[in-house]
Amino acid sequence: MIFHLVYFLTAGLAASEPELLERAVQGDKEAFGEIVRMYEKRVFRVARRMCNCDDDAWDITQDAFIKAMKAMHSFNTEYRFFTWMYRIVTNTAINLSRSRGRRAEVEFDEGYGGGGQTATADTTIQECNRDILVSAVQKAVEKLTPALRSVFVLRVDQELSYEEIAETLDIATGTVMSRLNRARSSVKSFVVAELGGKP
Amino acid sequence: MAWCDNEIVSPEANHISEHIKHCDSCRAFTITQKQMESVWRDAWTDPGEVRFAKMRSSVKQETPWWRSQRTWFIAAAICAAYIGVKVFYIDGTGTSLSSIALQETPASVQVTTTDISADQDESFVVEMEETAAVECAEEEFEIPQDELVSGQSEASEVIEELSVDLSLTESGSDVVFNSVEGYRLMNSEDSPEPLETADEVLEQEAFSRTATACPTESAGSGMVGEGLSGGVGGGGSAAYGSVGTSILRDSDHQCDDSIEDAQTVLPVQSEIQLTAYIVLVTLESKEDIQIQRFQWNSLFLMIDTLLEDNWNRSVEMLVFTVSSQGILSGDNMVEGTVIDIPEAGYGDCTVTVQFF
Repeated sequence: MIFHLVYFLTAGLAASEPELLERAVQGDKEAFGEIVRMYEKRVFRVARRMCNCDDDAWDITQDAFIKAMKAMHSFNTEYRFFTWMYRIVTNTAINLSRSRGRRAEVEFDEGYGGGGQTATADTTIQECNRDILVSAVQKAVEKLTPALRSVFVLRVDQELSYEEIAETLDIATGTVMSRLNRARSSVKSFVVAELGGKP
Repeated sequence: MAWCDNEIVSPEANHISEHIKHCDSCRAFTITQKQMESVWRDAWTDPGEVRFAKMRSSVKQETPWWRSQRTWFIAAAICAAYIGVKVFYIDGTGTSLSSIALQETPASVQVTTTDISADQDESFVVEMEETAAVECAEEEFEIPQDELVSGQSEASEVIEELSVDLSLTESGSDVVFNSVEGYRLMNSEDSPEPLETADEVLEQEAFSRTATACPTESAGSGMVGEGLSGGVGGGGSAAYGSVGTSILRDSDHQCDDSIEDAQTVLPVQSEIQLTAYIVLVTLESKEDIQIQRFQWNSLFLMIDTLLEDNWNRSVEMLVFTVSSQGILSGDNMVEGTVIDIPEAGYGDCTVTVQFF
């Protein structure tokens, strides 16, 4: 009870996000530090999902925040900060993977799993060990192209809405839907194949 | 899939829900998809606060945009200052372009003519403006004004003649000033003996004209006429010399020949401390514009003599008035008598020279 009361009072005293953003835009380093605290876990998680490597994820996260700090003066506070930040981190992750030549994405056959899934595939996934399934999904995500992977990560992991994804990646909502559908189908097909089932 | 993401609103969403209830294949598909994604989403472990703190520290150490811009601004300011020094500070002796311009440019000497009644004496007044002189001294040698006025400056022991060659030529109703004389203060341990006679003065005047033949040494020119004003200015750092002759200027002076000539005659004072002043010439008669050039030279040589005779006095600035009474019409106007030289307070005194 006391913990909740202290937390409530502390939260009440803390500056709101719009206020912090205004101060950060004006050059307040402390305010930007608070913003980093607010978003660091989410940003790191996106980076980690995008590259599946801890070291790279930390580099991406740090670079993304540095980029944001240097470009903070150009940020329009009328827009949502997290979509701006997600765009920075996804682009940073894509650029990093490209610069390191780790792009091993496989363009899945559209017809590979794009249609209806068979009961065998669903059974394979549902009966699979959890850790194995997680590993298989992660591998499948890594195989996605950056465009599909970013949409998949933002939707499945960050649970952003289609509209937010569209704003983040600066694409149309219809494009988000089509890319997400392709990404999901590709992942599922890869997972089923990885698990030895029939697609 | 949009239905799985709750991105489809009613009534289409209700229609899909009804279908999935009765379609095993679609139900299995959605369940599998959600299971796969939720397993992957939940398979996450935070790396820990230590790593985040380290990352925050790295971000904090990075130079932010506002600081980087400030760095650029400071760098630009330093570059601008350096360029300014190179442009406006010519050599190591501290001679600035502004001081050179002061030497080369006519100062604000006004020569005006006014009608006077017949019973009034023809006269003209030469004034050296103290304020302008102090400003010039401050600008060139960075001598505080209070020191200049109060006589506390080390450079205030002696009055030294400065490169001066005031020449007045008649051109219709206009009179052109080609150059002007000035005086400066400096230390004077090896000051030469002051000139005693007008002949010596005239001899030195001849040398002065020779030595100041360089156009760059002409301190200025101006127009004089009825209701008009002319410019006369003088200045620059000069070595010590006798009356009307010392025209040495700074090492950057452009007239090398005249400098060499002067150096052969005049010892160069090692410490040059003084600066230029501005001479204000006021003609009080229409006849004043008829003054011949040599007469003006003689007049200033007279003033030179006056100041030279008082070289050992602690005079920082002289504001002097020269009055002539009927002498301007003649050719021989060199003879003059100092009628009033205050014993003290030369910083703001008025020295009057009257011609008989």
